[in-house]
Formats: sequence, structure tokens, C-alpha cells
Amino acid sequence: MSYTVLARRWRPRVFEEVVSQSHVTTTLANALRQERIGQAYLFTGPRGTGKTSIARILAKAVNCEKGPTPKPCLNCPACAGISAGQWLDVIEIDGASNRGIDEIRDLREKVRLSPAKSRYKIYIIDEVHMLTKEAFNALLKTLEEPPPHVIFIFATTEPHKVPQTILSRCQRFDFRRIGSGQITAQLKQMAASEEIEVEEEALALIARQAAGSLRDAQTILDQVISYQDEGSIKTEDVTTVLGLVNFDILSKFAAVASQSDAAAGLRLVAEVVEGGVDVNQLVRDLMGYFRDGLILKTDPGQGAKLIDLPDSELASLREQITLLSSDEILKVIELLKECNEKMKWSSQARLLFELTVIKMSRVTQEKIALMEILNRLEELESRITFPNENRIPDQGIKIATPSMAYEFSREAGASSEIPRTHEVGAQSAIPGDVLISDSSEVATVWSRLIDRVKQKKPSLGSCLSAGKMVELKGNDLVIGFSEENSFQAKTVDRKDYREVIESVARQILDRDINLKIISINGNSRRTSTVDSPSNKSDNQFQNFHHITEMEPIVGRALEIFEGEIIKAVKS
Amino acid sequence: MNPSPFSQIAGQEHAVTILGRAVRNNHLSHAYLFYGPEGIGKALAAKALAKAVNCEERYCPADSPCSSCRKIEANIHPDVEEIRPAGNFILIGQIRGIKGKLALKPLGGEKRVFIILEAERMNTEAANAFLVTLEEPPSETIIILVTRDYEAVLPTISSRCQGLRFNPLPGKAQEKVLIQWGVDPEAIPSLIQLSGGSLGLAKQYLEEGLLEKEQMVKGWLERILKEGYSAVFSLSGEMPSSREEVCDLLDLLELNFRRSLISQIEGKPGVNEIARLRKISPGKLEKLIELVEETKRLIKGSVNLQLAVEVMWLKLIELAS
Repeated sequence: MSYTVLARRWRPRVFEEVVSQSHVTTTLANALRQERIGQAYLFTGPRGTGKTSIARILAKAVNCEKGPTPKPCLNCPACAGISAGQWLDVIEIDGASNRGIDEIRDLREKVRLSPAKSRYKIYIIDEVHMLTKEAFNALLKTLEEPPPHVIFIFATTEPHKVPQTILSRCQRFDFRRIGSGQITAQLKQMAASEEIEVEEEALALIARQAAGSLRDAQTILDQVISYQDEGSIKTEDVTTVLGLVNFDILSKFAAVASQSDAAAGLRLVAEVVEGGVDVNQLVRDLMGYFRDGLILKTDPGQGAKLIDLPDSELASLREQITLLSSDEILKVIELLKECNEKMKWSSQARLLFELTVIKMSRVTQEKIALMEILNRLEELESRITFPNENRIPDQGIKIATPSMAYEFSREAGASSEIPRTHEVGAQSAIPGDVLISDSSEVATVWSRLIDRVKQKKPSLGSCLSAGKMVELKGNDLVIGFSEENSFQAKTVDRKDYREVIESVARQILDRDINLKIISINGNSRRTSTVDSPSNKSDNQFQNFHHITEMEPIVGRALEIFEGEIIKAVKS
Repeated sequence: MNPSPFSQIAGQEHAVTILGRAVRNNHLSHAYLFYGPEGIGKALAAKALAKAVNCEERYCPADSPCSSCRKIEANIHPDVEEIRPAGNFILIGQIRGIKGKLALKPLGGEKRVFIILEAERMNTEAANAFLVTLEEPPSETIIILVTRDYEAVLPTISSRCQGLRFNPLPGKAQEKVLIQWGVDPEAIPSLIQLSGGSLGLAKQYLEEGLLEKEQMVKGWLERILKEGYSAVFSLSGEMPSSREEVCDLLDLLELNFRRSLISQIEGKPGVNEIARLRKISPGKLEKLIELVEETKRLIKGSVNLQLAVEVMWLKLIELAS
């Protein structure tokens, strides 16, 4: 007689036996009591939480001779047949293997036939997320209005792969992960009835490893039972079977970090590798260790609740992390994460881990070095005194040649509507005083503008960079180009390009910007401002301007090649 | 009583004990997942399990095996089947094939054993199609999944199997086997370091002439360190043209830096160390190792091989000076 694994033998048979899904079982039991049985159910949730089991219980509950009842009798032919998987009217379909439209069409044909022996015909489709799109769609009509004797139960671990149209036609139940406390209790009960002695601690360890899945826990327990054939099962047996890294070793690595002992770290790596530990696993375990440490560090009071560790290990962890700061722990986690990532690519896992351990041994020292640098910076900062304490916000940024500044002050004096920005007022009032004190800010705005424009349109960006930002006042942004850069000036002045620049400037400065282009010659600026192509002083340009209007294609060509018309010949 | 078929597997006491006891106590699971690095005996253990459950004499002597064990060894046993990826993946058709066979009764053996090699290569459809079978196969069936990448196997699959970890061989155990193979004792330390506890890899390295290669790489490094930039381009002619081979050589290159780094940290001279490397600080040695690692990563991608190697040498000179 072959052995049946625990997970199969201990499948719950009634709702009461299901662990930790009371929100599902209560709802279903009440529905059964009130005889409000849905036509389609969708059970979703992580593996090993009871989806298939509840589907089978529901099948029994509605078809039991004494039902529909929330408490199937388990003895009538229907209950027994369903438990054995031999009942004609409960059809379990493996959605992953029967995923095509043909299988669903076949199902649709058979759905119409009334049940052979019982009240309802129940279709349990497991792994329903694997049905193809066509199969799902073929199912829609049947699912919306199935014959009265049919109940569909879908189970899946990946509800996001099930189309919305299916979801909306089902009652959806989300299964929860099972808490490690409840898993422990369940395992204990199992061990007792199997007459196997297991240490409480060992069960708790299994429950932690199972990460919320009862089936995983049962599988591990099975494995441990077959490993330890005499005497009671101890924590060490579980550690051995699962190949877990001993907690003490993790603590030793933490000590390498806190005591900055690289040599000890390397010896430890050698020792561990010698013992046949998988380095990849070790790195992941260490990440978990430091993660727990960081939680304890961040929230010494309540943090322990978030950590699934027995008290002795918790105490040891507490002790280790007192020697490290949160930043240092964070740094160590970063290092481990990086190592973990690199190991996926590399054939030299051990070498990478050794490097990481060496770096880990340096985190506390790096901190000291960093503090030193910070102190020095602060010292330097305190020695520098700023000539102009007033930092000028965007609104008043102004860089100008002497004459410009003069003009501005006059303008400001003449019209009281223009708000006098006091930041610049005092300085700009004196003609000849170059407003260069906040040049750094202007420069940042200017370089950001060029960068962004370059991202949008590289050629325009480089043209723009040939110019200089002359003034930024209110909504006006004045850019100057020298005589020899007139080509760039012309390009920048094109209507569509102006729009690009203006929109970028609007994003940077957070207000509407009106672009003005002027030509400057060395220090003295020329008076003619080129606002739009129409009032350009450039004769040649004006002569050819009508051509682009008459022949749009010429305009397009100019746009694409960014050229200019030099000669027009009539053919 | 003769030793069980598991006794042939070196250095996996943990896994072998678990399997041996399960067989003895008739406590076998219907689905196993053997995982661990390449070349350490997972597939061998799967085959041994197939033999152990089907052996006519339980256990037959290794030098005169029973017909069942002989058939399994030769891959012709009707109830034991190995499934490998067809091309890049294990496809749904192959899984359906297993299911088809499971619907029938065993042909003669006690238990049917399906060994799925490189199980991480089951594509999504295949893996999902396997779930229900894996959870509740017919009786007298054992399905063994073998993979080197546990993480790459769907969690819904691994949750249905008893996972059994195979660890890299401990240095001592590996040394013993290597000595048995008659490997030059001088080559053993680097071989162990390079293969990271995998006998399969160690074998591969040996077949490819590890010792000569090691000397060659050492020679290159010495030349580069001595002659500087002028050596870089004369070296590129000597590089092999296959990406894998270059990666293997870079593995060897790294080892030189590692030796020097460790000897500096521990404060005692290492064996086989290049004298010039002693003058390089540990911090720089780390950077050098990272440089070589990065280069390997790039080479495994699709960069120009020669350029990548040359750039590495140039950066190496810069770092080392």
C-alpha cells in the first residue's frame, strides 16, 4: 500500500475543518441555510489556503441527501461519492490542461443535461486563469444564465488573469494567507493524531517556513517525519531537512559587520562553504536577518510582532543590532541585495559573497569617514560669508548689461503698475552696476532651459545655446544673439520653435513666458528686436517670405532641413 | 545487504539520508523537487531513487545489477522515464504525454517514476497543466522534478512537491573525489574555488585543460601589469573567440585578484600570488574584481567581445597603476 501524503489525507471535509477562512465559510454556510445558492463562484488566494477543498465541501453541501445544508452528512452516497471523486454530477476540470475553446464548447453542450443523481450539477474548474481568451469568452453566456441545476466553481491563484467579464458574473471570495499560529495549531493536531512526537518549537519553525500556506506546512511536516524515524522530532531535524542556515551563523555575519573584522568574515565564509551551504540561500537568509533587525531597530516596542522569530533568537538579534545603527543596517541590506542580484549572472557566487562580506565589514568605518567629511564641509561653510544675503527668487531674476539695467529702473519708475521687486531695486537703480550677483541662479534657469529644449529638439537646443539669456523680467524672457550667430537667432525665432521654447520655459518657471529675441553685439546691444518674421529687418528673408506662403511644400522643406531660401528661380 | 543505489552519490549525505529513510519506511511522497546548483548529483539521485523503488532484490550488488536496475541505467525501463526540455522549454504536449501514460497501469515495475529534468524550463502552460496531476497522481507513481533554479519554478508547483535541497559539495568531499579521479594535487585548490562545489563543473574544467589556462591567464596579467598599454592590443589576438571560453578565462583572472585580496586582509602571503598585485590596495582589488565581473556580464550579453575585453584591460591598467 503506498503512502498518501498528509496534505491529501487531511483535506477538510466540512466547513468547520477549514482553517482560517471563516469569512468564506460563514458566508457560504449562511447562503446554504437561506437557500440562496449562487450560480457561479470564484475562489482566489495564495496556494495551499483551501480553495479546492472548499469547492469540494460546497459541492457536498448542496448535493447531500439531507441538504442543501451547511453541514453535509458525509455518509450519504452523494457525500461519499464526492469525497472519493467518483460522483457523476461533480465534474472537476483542470483548467490548465483543458484550456481551449473546444473543451469549453464541449462543456457547454453537457451543461444542458440535467444532473444524473443529485440536485445540482457542479463544475469545479481549477487553475481557471489558464483558460485561453477565446475559452473565457465562449463561457460568458453560459456563465451569465446557466441552467438552474448548474453551479460553477472556479479556483485560481491568479485572479488578475481572469477577464473582468468573467469576474463580474461570479461571486468572488478572496482567501487569506493562514497565520503561522494557526498553522502551528493545525500541525500539532495532525501530529497528535498521527501519533508522532514533535517539539512545539519545530512546528513553529515549519509554520514560519510555510509562509501562510497550509499545504506547504504539511509537505514539510511529511518530509521531516520521513527523515526522523525514531524518537521525537526536534527543531534541528527541521533545519537539516530544509537545509536552513543556522541562526547562529547569521549572527556571526552580523558581528562581522559590527566589529569590522574582514578577516574573520572571510574565515566564516570559508567555514560555511566548506559545510556545503548554498551561498545564494545564505545571502537571502542574511537579507531576512537584517530586515528583521531593521524592524526591531525602527520600532523596538512593537516591532517584534512583525517578526516571526522564537524568543531566544529574538533576544540574540536584539543584542546584535545594538551595535549597528539603522543606516548601517540599511547599507548592509543594500550590499546584500546587490550581491544577490549579481550572483544571478555570475558563475563565481562565492567570490562575490566574499567581496560583499569585506564591504560589510567596512560599513561602520565608512560611517566614520562620512561624518568626518560632513564636519569638514560644515566648517568650510561657516568660513564662507556671502556678499549678498538676499537670495532672489525667480520673479526677480535679472541679468543685464549696464544699459539694460538702467532701462529697467526707468521703466519701473515710470509705471507704478509694474511691481517693484525690491530684491533688484536697490542695485539696478545704479546704472553700470552689473546684476551678476545671482548669476548662478540665472545660469541654472538658462542651462535647464537649454537641456530641456535639447531633449525635445536637439538641433534647436544647440542653436539656443549659442545665445545668451539677457533678461528675465515678469513674463518676458529676453535672449540675445551676437551678430555672427544670426542664423541661430533666426532659427530660434521661427514660430513653431518659439512655441517649443516658451512651453519649456513655462514648465521651468511655472508661469507664462513670452520669448523675445534681440541681437547683441559684444557689450552694446542693437536696438532692433526681432519679434516675428514679419518685422524682420532682414530684407532677403522678407523677399522670400511670400514663397513659403504660396508654396506650402517649400515651407515644409525649410522646416525639415532647417534651411533658408537663398535664391528663387522661375521655371 | 548490499548498499542502496544512493551510496554512489558523493557528498550529499543530507539528501541521501532523507531519501533512503523514506524508501525504507515506505513513506515516499508522490512528488519531489530536487534543487541545487548544477553538477552536484541531482539527476543521479533521481535515477537512484527510481532504482531503489524498483529494485528486484532491494538492493542488488553494484557489480551485478538486477534487470530492473540495468534497464533504468540504460534508460530503457518501461516505467521509468526522463523528460527533458524539447528545445528551450518543456511544453504542454510533453506534460499531456505524462498524463496519458499515468492513466494506464504500470507495465511491470513496482512504481512508475517520471523524472523531469530542468523543470524550471516548463513554460507556463505546461507547468499549469501539471498542477492537478502533481497534487493527486494515481497511486504507485513518483514524479521527480529536477531543477537548478528553485526560484524559477512556479510556487504552485513547488508547493505540491517535497522540496529536497542539494548543496554544493563541501571542499573536503570534493577534494576526495578529485583525488580519486587522479587530478594533479596542485590544481585542486583552484578547481574547488572555480567549480564552487560542483563536480560536474570541475569535470568540465579538467576536460578543458584548466592548469594550462591558469598559467596562460597569469602570464597575461603579468604582461599587462609590466608593459602597460602596449600589451593590451597584442593580447587581443590571443583571446579565444567564443564568449564562454573568454568568460572561463576571466573567472581565472579574478582568482588572482581574490588571492591577493585575501592574503592582504589576512596579512600572510598567499600561494601562487603575483608579486605585483601585492602593491595594490584591497579597495582597488575589489574594484578590479567588480570590473571583471561587469565585463563577464557584458560578454554574456551582446556586446562586441574584443572591445569589451580591451576596455577591461585598459581600465585594469588604470586601476592598477
